[in-house]
Amino acid sequence: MNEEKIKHKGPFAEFWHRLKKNKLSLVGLGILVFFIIIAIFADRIAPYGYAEQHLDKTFLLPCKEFLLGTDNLGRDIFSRIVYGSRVSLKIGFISILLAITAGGVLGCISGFYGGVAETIIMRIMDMMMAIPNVLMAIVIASVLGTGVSNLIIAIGISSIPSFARIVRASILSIRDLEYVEAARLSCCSDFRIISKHILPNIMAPVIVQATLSLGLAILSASGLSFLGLGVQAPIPEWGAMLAAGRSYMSSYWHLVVFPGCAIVLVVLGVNMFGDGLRDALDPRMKG
Amino acid sequence: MENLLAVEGLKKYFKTPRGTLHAVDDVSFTIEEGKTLGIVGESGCGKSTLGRTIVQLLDPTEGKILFEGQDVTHLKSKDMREYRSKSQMIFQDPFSSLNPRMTVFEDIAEPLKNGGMHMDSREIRNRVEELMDTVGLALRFSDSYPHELDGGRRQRIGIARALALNPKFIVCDEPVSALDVSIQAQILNLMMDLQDSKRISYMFITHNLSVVKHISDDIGVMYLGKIVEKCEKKELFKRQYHPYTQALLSAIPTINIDQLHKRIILKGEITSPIDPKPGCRFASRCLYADERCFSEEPELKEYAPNHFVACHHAGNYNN
Amino acid sequence: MNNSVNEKQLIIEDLKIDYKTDDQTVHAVTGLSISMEKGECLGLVGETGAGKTTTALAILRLLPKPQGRILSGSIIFNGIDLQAIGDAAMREIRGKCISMIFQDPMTSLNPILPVGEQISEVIRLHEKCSKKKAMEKAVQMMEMVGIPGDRSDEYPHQFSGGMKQRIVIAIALACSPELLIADEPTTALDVTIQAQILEMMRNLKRDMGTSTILITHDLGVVAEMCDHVAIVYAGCIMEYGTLADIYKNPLHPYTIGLFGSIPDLNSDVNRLKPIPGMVPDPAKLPPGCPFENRCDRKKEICKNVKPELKTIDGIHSVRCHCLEENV
Repeated sequence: MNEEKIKHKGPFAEFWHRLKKNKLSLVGLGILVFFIIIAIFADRIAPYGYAEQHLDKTFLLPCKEFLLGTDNLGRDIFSRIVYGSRVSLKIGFISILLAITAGGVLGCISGFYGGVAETIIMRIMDMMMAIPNVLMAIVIASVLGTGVSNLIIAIGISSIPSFARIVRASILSIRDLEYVEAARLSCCSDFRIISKHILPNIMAPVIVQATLSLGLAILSASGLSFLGLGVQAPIPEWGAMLAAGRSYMSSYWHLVVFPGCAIVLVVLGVNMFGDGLRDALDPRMKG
Repeated sequence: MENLLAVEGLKKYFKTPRGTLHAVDDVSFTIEEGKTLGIVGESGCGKSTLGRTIVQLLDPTEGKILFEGQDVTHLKSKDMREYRSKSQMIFQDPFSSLNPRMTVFEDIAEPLKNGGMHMDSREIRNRVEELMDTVGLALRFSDSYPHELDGGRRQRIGIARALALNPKFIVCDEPVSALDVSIQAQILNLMMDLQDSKRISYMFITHNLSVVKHISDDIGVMYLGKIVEKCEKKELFKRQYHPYTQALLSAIPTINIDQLHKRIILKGEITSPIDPKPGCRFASRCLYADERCFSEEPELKEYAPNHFVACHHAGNYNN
Repeated sequence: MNNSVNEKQLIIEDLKIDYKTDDQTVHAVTGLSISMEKGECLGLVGETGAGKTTTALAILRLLPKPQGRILSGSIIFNGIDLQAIGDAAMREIRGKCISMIFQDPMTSLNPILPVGEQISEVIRLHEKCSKKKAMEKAVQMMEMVGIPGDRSDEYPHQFSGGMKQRIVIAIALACSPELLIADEPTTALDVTIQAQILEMMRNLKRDMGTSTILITHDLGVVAEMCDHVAIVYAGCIMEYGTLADIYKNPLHPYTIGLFGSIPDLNSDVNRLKPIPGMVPDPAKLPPGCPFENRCDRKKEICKNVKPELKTIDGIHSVRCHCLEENV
């Protein structure tokens, strides 16, 4: 038998190969990475502090001294946007992490064990989903108060149901597959079955949901800050910057356009990457 | 010789919104060491459910399962492990019976890691390589993923995995139905060789009578959850007493073109296993059914030496 | 072939089809030729990946675009070159002159339309008649395939697998096509249901005179239904002949191997004789005979030169280097 040496393409290599073919998703990934880098190295990149005021140079349009101009208090908009990326991404990632963990556990329990637990958990999730995200976040924020941490909690909690649902649905689709039965026959404990046999095979829809929820979370954060419920001054959050610049919009467009563009760019990048992820992950999972 | 496996009055019912589904209804049989019982039937007859209930993937509703003389019907988890090391299962679909995220090595090692055998990694590696060799899988596939291999090789992985804990009894649920004809033959030969060398008993579930004739010692024919005929293999093909068995055999297309015979074509479709009506389950499709058949359910009785039939009119008509 | 071209209903000449993906090119059909007369039943026998379904899809111009491409060869139906005609003309032919039954009845039917409507839809597309008349004809077709006509407004999920396949057959035969292509029509069905369906297909063939191409891997089904048999391997025909030719006097090592590897009800062999080795990767076909790596008769020439299909006796033809000497 003259067979060639076997090249093993693990699932990750296959997935990366497919992802690379989708140019749009690579662009999205690039945008995301770009903002992550900006956030990490904000101190080095930003020429001014985010709270540094220059009261003699307010409302300046983009110029050499201030790349994107200054706002009503003479703060450098460019620096504020750079630091703002830190805030937005931190809120986005941590709240989604919260939602995945809590939603994942709830989804696992209801999907794997079913019965009464499933009914109770899913009905609670239904109730939570019936309330609009923003409304729920507003309620939680008004109970807990404002500030970045509470914003994270609020957005995290309101994102739990979508993850619980998707984890449960994915588990239901593979729970009765023969390889799960084979795992039981191999004396695997429930925990091992879930962690080694089920979870790795439902990663695809969960990851896709995560990236799309990330975009939504960042948008929600901006929205809530815009409404005054999130971050408080002088912390530079893009939505808050939009709110502050609203009153001056007609005369000084640069106060709202740049933060607005930043929001659009990040959310767009996340969504494009999420789309590409979904395409790269899904067909392969069928084997 | 004491029986390896004895099943008595086994029932498995499922509750559905439309009623109680009688998947397995009062099934009894025995299997000796090193022998194969073929279970034949068409879709909906409950053969897969029967197999899964015996290996305790499903909880029996009623009845008894005795393995090596011990009652294993309702096992506690600590005894389950020991039972699992003795009775295993090979699945039908080589595509969905392997975890797509695990390599061949990891898949076969799973029972070794979890079966309470306390092996270190070197022992596990040796054992996996030994198993791969036994089933004819080249070692260079150890790090391959299932999707890189064809159906025949994947099924060998399933067999290696089932053999890992040295079971005495394996339920084979249509193990070759999804494979190409030329690969089927390879896998069947492998299974027969394993039976000879390791004295494993099989419960071989299939809808394909030609395959079951090849590999079985005894055959049980199932219809809607019940065994309607059971006897030694050669006997079944010589003479059938139940009209369903006759129709089943008659329906098989033969490749001997000189022997094209008149087929018994059954009328109608299979009836529902949910809350079945009284009387014989086959009555509505049977050419010979009479009033008694619709009201009284026939019991599985020994009609000829070691030949059991569940029919009121067994042997009363032409074969 | 002494008959004039016009007498043959279907002539496929040296068909070559590739599937091109980003990674590789799969040579699905590698020079396949068949011819059929009216009213004949031809069995295309082969295992998975042999190219049988691809050929069927090519006849109907249903190859997936853009991956599937016909590289060369011709398909002539009743004197018409099926590759040359326009899309509108091809649509006329599909369903009305040539019809196809696919393997899986579960996915062949539209789950949201009642079955009667699915049958009448085909009728309305090809025959100019009113909705009412089309539905009447649809009910007639249902009765003909053994389903009570009053179930015409039920949905596919309310029927069993066997009944769904009958509906699929009713749709395929609704406009009385001249040629029916049946791709593994009974593989997914129980054997007693298969017997019912095959009996029905035989009766329909007798009453309507439809020619059939029966694609299957089941030699038993072929023996019941077909007049002529073509054994397909790696995209081309290895052996062709009448039913008696192939079943009583198989000549190609692959054909002989196929018969040897099937457990037969009537014989009692201790061990089956499987064909050793594996089907070659259709993306990497060898230059010579595609069966060479599994053959027990091979010669030096088999590795490098692909044999031609040569006639041995009557219409019995074989593609093998090792047989020509014996003739």
